[in-house]
Amino acid sequence: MLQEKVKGLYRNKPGIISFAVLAVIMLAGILAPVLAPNDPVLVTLDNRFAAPSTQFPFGTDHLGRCVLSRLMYGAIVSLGSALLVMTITITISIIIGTLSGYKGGWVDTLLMRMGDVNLAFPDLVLTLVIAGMLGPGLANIIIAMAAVQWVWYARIIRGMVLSLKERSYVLSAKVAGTPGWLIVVRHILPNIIPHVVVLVTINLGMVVLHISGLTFLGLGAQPPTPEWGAMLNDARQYLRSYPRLIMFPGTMIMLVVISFNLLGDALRDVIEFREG
Amino acid sequence: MGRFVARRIISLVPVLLGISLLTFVLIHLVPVDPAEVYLRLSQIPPTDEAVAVIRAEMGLNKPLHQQYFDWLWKVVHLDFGKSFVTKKPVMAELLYYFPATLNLAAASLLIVLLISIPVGVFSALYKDTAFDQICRILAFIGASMPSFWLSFVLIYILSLELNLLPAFGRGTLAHLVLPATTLALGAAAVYTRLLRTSMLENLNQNFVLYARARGLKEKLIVVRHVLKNALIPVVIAFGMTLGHMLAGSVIVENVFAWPGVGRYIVSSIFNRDYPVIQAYALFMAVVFVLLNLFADIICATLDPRIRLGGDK
Repeated sequence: MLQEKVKGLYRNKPGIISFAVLAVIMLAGILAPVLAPNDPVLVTLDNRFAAPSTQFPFGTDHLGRCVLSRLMYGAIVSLGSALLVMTITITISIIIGTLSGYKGGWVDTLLMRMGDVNLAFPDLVLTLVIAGMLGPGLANIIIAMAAVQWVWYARIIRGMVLSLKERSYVLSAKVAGTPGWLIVVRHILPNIIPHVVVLVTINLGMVVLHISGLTFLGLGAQPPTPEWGAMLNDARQYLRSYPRLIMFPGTMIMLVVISFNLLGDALRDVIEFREG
Repeated sequence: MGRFVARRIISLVPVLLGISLLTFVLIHLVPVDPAEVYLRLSQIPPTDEAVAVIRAEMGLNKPLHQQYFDWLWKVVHLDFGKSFVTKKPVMAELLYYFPATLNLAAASLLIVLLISIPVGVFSALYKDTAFDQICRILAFIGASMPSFWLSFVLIYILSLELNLLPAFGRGTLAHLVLPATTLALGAAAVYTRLLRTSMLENLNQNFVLYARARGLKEKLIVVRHVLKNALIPVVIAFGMTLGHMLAGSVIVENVFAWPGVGRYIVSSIFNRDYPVIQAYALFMAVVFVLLNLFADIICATLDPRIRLGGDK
């Protein structure tokens, strides 16, 4: 079953390519301390706006910092914080969503009402406002995003649990006297996880976009931390003379977002098509 | 219809209460004492006595539920307090900046319509042709492109290189083009796909078959029977999109120096002007909820199934 799915994914070209792209970017970020040609935060004013060369393959920025090195280190900040947001979000929403769907009761009522309120805010407003109240900083953005997003996932997971709860194998496990937590762990979670993985992959692109957008506004990672959104913000003043400074981080963000979207689509085709 | 609207409005009450609770709690997320921030912004040394006076003035020393009801009472009377920075009423400031944002969002929405209706209709009618494939790829890229990056690319090409349009500020219609287009492209991508799917669904319905059997002209069938029905999900999404655009304009306004709410909120965040941030959240949520209400009502007028189904 699992093997079949892996095979299916293997045959999905866009999925494989985007996975490879993401893996390369992630690896470049992780190995940046070894691979990066220069120190990403070292300011050398003599080298301001240097053109691409062997020493600086992508040139330097307005403070003479190596653009390629900043992009590589930035991969870890941008992608890593997106993954962190998702990990926190999913952990909370799996716990609350399962509890709410399986047990019902006040947790369920509370979750549904919170969802209604959450949906009443346009995208990004709540995140922006929470991040604004907490003050600028990458950690605060991660907290704000997780705090806003988990409700949405929890409600979806709750819906999945509600439909699984009525399946005959869950009912028979119940009749056999299996304790509730064991039913959840053994019968419900394994059926939910694949769908959650699809959701998470598709939405990771959006999380990357939001994080870089907030950082671009100056709310996320603070200078001199290399982050793609922050690099774009630094480069905006030099748009006329040095448009390449805009091109590099922008292309990276777009590449990552497109890859996550394609990978998510591929996973959905493989996982949900076979089950549906 | 009256009953549908009434029930829809009543269902808003708990949501609005929830919104008010959430926005009220927001101010308590502030890691520092707002009274101290207020004093610092007013260039007054935050001595213990001064902080105590301001706390009393802001009602921060009352019990929490009392604070909430006091605050809610004021909010119902459209009093959101005063800005820490300008010392003017926040509501007046928000209303001062809001028209610019509304202007931008409305222009974007128009662009979305101008792009997505023709493209959506034609990609459905010419499904799987080269045109459809190209639109699909463009839509995919449009949805993945960071708006702040897109705006720089547009500024660079259209304004710095070709010198066709002004890159910053507000004033003439030409000033509106770049920010509105940037804001619109992402949504246009989504709408094109939405309309395409919805058109395809409706093209397969029996009433289309019947209309064809009656020998109606294909153009008439598409416009009167298919498009009218296919637009319903689009209209439902519209209320939401306008809300998302009002909010999403934050980044675009900052790039294009557009003097709207989005720029105001970001500068308020950096000034730690907490009453403004709080009022912004409440204001946006209420506008968003009302927009969705209008979209629902419009759909109920368009589609009797919605209002009648709701009355059961």
